[in-house]
Amino acid sequence: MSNLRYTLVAIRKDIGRFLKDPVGLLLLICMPAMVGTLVNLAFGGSDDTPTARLMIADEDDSLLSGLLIGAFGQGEMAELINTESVTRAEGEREVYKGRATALLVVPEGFGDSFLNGEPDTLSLLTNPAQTILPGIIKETLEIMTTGGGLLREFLGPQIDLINSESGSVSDSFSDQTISSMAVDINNLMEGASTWLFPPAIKFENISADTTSATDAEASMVTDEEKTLLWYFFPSLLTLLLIFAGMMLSSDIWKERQAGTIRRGLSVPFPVRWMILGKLLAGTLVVLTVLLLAAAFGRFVLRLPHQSWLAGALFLSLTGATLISGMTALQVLFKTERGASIVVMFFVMVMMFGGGSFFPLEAMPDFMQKVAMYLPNGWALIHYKAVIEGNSAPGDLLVPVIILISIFILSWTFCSWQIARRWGSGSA
Amino acid sequence: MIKVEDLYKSYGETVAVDGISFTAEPGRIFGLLGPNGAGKTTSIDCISGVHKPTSGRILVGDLDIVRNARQAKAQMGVVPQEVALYEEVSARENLHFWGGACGLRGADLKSRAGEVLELTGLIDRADDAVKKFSGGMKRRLNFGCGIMHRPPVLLLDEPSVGIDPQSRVRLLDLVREQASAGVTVLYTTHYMEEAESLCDELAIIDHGTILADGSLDELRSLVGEKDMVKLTGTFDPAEVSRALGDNLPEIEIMESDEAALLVSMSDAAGNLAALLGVLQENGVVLRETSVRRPSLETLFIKMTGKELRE
Ligand SMILES: Nc1ncnc2c1ncn2[C@@H]1O[C@H](COP(=O)(O)OP(=O)(O)OP(=O)(O)O)[C@@H](O)[C@H]1O
Ligand SMILES: [Mg+2]
Repeated sequence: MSNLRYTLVAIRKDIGRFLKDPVGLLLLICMPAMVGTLVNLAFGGSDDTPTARLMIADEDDSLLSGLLIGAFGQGEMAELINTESVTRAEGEREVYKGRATALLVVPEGFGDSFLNGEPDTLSLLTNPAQTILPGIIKETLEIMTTGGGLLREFLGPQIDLINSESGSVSDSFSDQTISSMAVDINNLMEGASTWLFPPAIKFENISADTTSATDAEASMVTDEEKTLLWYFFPSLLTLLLIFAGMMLSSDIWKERQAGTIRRGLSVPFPVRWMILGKLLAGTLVVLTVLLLAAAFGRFVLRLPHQSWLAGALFLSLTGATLISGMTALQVLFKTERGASIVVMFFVMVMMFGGGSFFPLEAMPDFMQKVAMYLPNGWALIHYKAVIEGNSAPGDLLVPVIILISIFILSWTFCSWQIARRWGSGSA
Repeated sequence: MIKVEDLYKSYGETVAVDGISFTAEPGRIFGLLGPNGAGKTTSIDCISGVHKPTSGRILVGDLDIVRNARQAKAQMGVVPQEVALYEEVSARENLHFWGGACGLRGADLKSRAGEVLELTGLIDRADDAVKKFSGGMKRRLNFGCGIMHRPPVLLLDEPSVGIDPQSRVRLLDLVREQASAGVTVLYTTHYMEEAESLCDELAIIDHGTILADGSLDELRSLVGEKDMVKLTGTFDPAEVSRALGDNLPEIEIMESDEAALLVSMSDAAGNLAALLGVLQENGVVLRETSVRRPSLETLFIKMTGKELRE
């Protein structure tokens, strides 16, 4: 009984801390909203608009520039804008001759300066003879760069940690290992990008005639109602979960650096209850944000989701488990730097592989199979089944039991690690 | 009461505490005096249950810290060497959390937090975020968090480091008040004067072992009546040793190398001239001479062959 009371005290403590420092929470809410707006604006165009011819000179040729440019080549955007890869000189010629709508130049070093948080300019040369089409391209770019800036803001601490040269002496990994790991991750992502990013991914499934068999069952959602957002909204919610997991699990490092975990080891209650309080405080945050977001989707965007409340609760539990699992991952490492690199890697894999950044339906078949084995993809599939009315909320019982078990296991593991190893001075 | 019996703690290869034993009594302040790396924090960590001792036994009251961790910890207030607070929230919220973590609740928790804020002189800033506090204020709050639940045993790990003289006087008074209220206080420090003015009993610790312990008077009697003379310059240790042995056999050489000489002698004021004479006759070039009256510091130097300050 008193352990429980201590847990409540710890929950209140962390909620109090989160509220005092609400920037992270606001970002948590803004991020998916931003991505959502971006996607909707970028892909939500209608069919009978004229086609623009966009020349792209990618002088940077990095993962990031690929991502940026790729967005123009996706789905309905691709129908609106034809992109062509050119050199700067060729592109300029085409625009001046009035044969192309615009030339987008991604300067060399764009990806690097973006990761370092330095401003860099994309130049857009537009055809003066056309007005509407260049405007659309410009708009899209602005949204993407703002969204990217926000992403930078959000991942900032992680990126800085990885970029920073000043490793502490007590690193469990040497600087060399860390940097080679960073290079590995980068290579992996670069390699993956050829099939993760366009043209491999298109919104080709999103049309009235490719309804899957399950959708055809007595669902109250008619195909006409399936807007792009209908497909993408659940993904956005899982994106939110991933960010929440990353952000809230790294709070354990703040406590370590403040020495409060160590102090927590000297109080009468076992430290695991303090940790539980921490995990549950994070869960409350996720629950609140998700309920708001799901209600927004249901009542403001009027997405015809069924059992949206049960779905949101299920996703919140998934969020709790992600926080718990990622905290267990964090404490495996001796330094925040080491942990953040690996956590960031998992975040990337989940984001791009688990249907959080691109709707599952928009991914190639084999990728959809992979997604099922990633936590967010797995949760997304169960969640969608419920909100699409293909399974009853009761069918979530087994997934819920699985989630709770993983939560408890991760919680036990990280408490044990902390009690065993985190008594020594701050890292 | 704290009873430590043959405590031994190693981190892998490093032996941090190498078999120490002592007893701290209620109503008294027991000082653990030693230089950096002596093993003070490690000892405190073992007593407070943050680390498991490699071997040895620790009793708090009559509770074994390993076997009855929970009850034993409930008896103790711990003030860690590094300030351990939640910076985003207020002083009061910190006291509420750590008080709650030690079992206080409801009205008692609230009124005790007010009391502690009063005691530590932070009542005016009670609702400000801790990150806006000065280092000294954080130290005082760090102390306050440790006494929230009115523990009968208090472990203080260098609590006065980095605070201004007034705050220090106030903090030491607080510690004395705790002791006179019957609390067992274990106080670590590397400040000699602090140990001398505050502690009823003292153990000098270095390299994880206790070199000497006892009440202040007992320790002073160990020091004896002799003064310490420290000379710097250019020496030939073998030559110095021979010359002093032949001419002034009553002088004891404590430490000797090419650049410095430390000797112990009675009535240094009267006999210094003779010492300097002998040295100069033997070709020693002197730069500086200092004489120290018998004190704990001279005892420390005598025991460890080094000075306490870093
Ligand atoms: N977690 C650890 N891992 C390895 N060695 C450690 C660890 N903690 C302390 N030590 C070593 O144990 C010895 C004693 O350290 P301790 O912190 O107890 O000294 P201290 O007396 O508190 O010193 P200070 O006055 O600097 O606080 C030192 O040699 C230190 O390097
Ligand atoms: Mg110490």
